Amino acid sequence: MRILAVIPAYNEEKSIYNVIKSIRLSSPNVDIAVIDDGSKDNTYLEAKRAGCFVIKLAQNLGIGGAVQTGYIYAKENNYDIAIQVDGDGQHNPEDISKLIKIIENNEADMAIGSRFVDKTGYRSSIMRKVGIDFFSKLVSMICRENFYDTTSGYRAINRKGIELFAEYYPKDYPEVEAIVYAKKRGIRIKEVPVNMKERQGGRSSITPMKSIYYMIKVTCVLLLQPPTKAR
Amino acid sequence: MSVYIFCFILSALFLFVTMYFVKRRILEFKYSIFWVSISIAMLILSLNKDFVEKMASAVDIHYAPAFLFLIGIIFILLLIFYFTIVISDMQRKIIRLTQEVGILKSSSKDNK
Repeated sequence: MRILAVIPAYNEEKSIYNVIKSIRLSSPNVDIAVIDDGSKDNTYLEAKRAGCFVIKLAQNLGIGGAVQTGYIYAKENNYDIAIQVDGDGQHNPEDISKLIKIIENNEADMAIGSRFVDKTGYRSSIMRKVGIDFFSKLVSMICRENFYDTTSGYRAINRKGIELFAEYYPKDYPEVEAIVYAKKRGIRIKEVPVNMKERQGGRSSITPMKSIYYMIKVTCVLLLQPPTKAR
Repeated sequence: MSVYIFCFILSALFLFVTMYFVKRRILEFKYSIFWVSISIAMLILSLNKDFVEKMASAVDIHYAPAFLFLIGIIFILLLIFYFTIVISDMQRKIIRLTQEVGILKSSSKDNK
């Protein structure tokens, strides 16, 4: 099985080196592709310093465009599994094997590293919790299956999913929509409990104003899903 | 000068300008269709004063030329809507291009 870890990174010079190193350490058989999403800092050089393969985007496309670049690359290079890991160090690389195992055993087409399936140590602000809860309920309702951590960007996906996401992937705030989009197209999804750390460097891309837009946008696109049979 | 003559001159001018830009291949033919049809529609309307007045009273507009303006505004709204569709499509294409260029560049250099 050929496995590719896709790390979207926008201005993550402080953390990207360590993220790459720790993935190498815990999963030596996994190839890594860093997608430098038009960073203004030294993300590219830091990733290169770690000896990593980097796809540098000429412009900032946003997280969705960056992640999709990874899926396109995975599709073109015949990877069987793609695993998406944040560049800020929130995701514990030791959980990669957990996610991959789900796919390898064909228990699901997509595995999501979830903070809330079991009580894990993740703590967050009240507003954030309300948002996460809301989307969990909404997605569960639309998919008629319970999902807990819909905003987690820590996920592994098999060939079928890679091909699906190479074709279409939401542009901004993609995590929640991607679940519904995939689910409606026959992707089996399973959540796996993982621990997430505080970010190691950089800043969250979501400001209060943006979070309002986030809520509205994601809610609307969830309710307005494209027809399944369309192109 | 009555508003109908004014409208007529304006529409004729517009039609002429549109044709000129298409002829010079500055304006894509696809997008000119919309402008040409607006111009022609306005030309016809401004020549048929009675028709416009009948239509206006049918929708309870007392000042008939206002009906003319209404038609113009509706056309423009439709056009802007169409443009946002075109922009969205372009945005998708630009994203795909950026991704492909990134992948190409990464494999052409001594990147591994």
